[in-house]
Amino acid sequence: MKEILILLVSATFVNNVIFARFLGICPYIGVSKNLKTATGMGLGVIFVMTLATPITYAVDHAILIPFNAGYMRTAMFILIIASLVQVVELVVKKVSKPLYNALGIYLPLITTNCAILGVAILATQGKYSFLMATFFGFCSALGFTIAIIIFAGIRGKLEEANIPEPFKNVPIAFVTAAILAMAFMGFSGLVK
Amino acid sequence: MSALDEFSKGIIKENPVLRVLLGFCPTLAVTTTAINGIGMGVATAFVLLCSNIVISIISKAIPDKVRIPCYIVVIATFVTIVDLLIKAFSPELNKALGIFIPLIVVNCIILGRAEAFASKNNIFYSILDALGMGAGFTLALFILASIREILGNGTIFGMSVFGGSIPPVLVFIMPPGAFLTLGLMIAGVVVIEKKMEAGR
Amino acid sequence: MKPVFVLTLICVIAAALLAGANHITKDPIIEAKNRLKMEALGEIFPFEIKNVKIIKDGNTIYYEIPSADNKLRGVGIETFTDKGYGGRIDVLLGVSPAGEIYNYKVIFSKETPGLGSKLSDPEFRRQFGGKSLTDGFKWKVKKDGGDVDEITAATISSRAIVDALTKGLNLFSEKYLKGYK
Repeated sequence: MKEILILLVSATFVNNVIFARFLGICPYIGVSKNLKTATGMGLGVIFVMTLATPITYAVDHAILIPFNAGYMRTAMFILIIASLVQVVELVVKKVSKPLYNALGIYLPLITTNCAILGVAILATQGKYSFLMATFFGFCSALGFTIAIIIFAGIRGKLEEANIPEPFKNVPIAFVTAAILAMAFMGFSGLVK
Repeated sequence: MSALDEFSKGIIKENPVLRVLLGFCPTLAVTTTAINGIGMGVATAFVLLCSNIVISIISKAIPDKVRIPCYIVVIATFVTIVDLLIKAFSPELNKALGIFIPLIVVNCIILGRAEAFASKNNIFYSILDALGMGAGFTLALFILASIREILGNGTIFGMSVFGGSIPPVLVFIMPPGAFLTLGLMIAGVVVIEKKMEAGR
Repeated sequence: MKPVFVLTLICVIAAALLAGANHITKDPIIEAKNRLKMEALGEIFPFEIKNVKIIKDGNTIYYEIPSADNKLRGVGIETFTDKGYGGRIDVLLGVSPAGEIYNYKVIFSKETPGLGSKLSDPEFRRQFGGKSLTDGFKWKVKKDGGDVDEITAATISSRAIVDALTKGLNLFSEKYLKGYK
């Protein structure tokens, strides 16, 4: 139980994918202009990452490690993630129209979201069990979602602020992210 | 467009990081020292060059439906080769760049150039495009990394800059410093561009 | 059919290329790893490192370094702690056959740059030179009533390194100094 709690805090806050690991910055800056798109992207990432991490973990332990083919990991994982995203898109389209409307346009973008591949690789390096690796994937995605939703909230307010011309849009977004990253640094040392 | 333009556009006018705003993750993550910045830049440029060459050759033979998966396989192959080479010949760099070497595969710059340029142009222009974009990416990483290393650690390429007389501003080599410096750099480029347009 | 054929073909070529690249770089990668380890050992022992015997026991790796007349001169131990400010810290610890510390090297850490990373400073490391579990040295930071000078503003990192070092010394004692309680 304690172990789960530690992983939750560490993967979600202390080692936040955005602010500590620098994974998934492109969608973080790109689709955080308003709360609605940010939430959609966040949920999409939670969905895909929670599926992708256990699948890549299983492939790694069932095929790559026994056959001593660790060097195939990058190619294998990215193909799995790309196909997974396609399958998820098809299934979601069939099963739930509202869910597809909410997530649909974000799913293709997720393939090139380096957070998915990054977390999948980190999960195989982290000496986790299968269940813990899955949980690690979920928590990391949760961290991403929290970060992007907070950020979208702030950016919504920035729209109305009087920002110097050169800083409009992306530069001010980075400055804001810097301040948020400072806030997230407060979490480090929480897990000892 | 002349050959020189194909090369030089990636360095300034369409700099992948500072103007087109792509490839932020490695840009922010590995730029704690100038040498890491250059290492990452060169590794990415090498993959970009190889993938641009191969894709400009084979793109005609690839059916549109499986275009993206094919490109991804090509890119992943070169990334893995670079990864193995770095592990073999520069384990120090491997340790410093860590997970961001395999992650070159999802660097949007590479797939972006494959899709937008290499698949539509001949091999000669594709090489120039890759070299220019690679140089632009490396330059952006080098500048960002130098600023962070000088301010955050008081050194450049490991050599002391201020001779210990000024304590370094640690925050610059920590995550917030990465976001802040990149934000200021992008804003700086906007200002420079405005100035140049006004001067014309 | 054509799309599937092309994709399969590309995958097969890619796999073949990768297998080839892996074959060529396999030995250099092992060599590079070993070279890094030997360099690290060279940093923590004040004498020449030659004919190192690598022993894997349980989850720990020991490096036995012989002298010219083939007697045990020093042992390197891969130890770690999970109690760092940034989580795990991996440490390579060098001890004499009698269980006294020569030096150590932080192999991996995510401690705060400039504060916790001072664990690697020679001034900080020096205080552990010659210390062992049995010479009365109190293996705690001064704040907790021990003998270890903690790094200012990095008490957690200091406690963590003490944890890693005592863990390493205990592993050494169990394996090499029989009868130690």
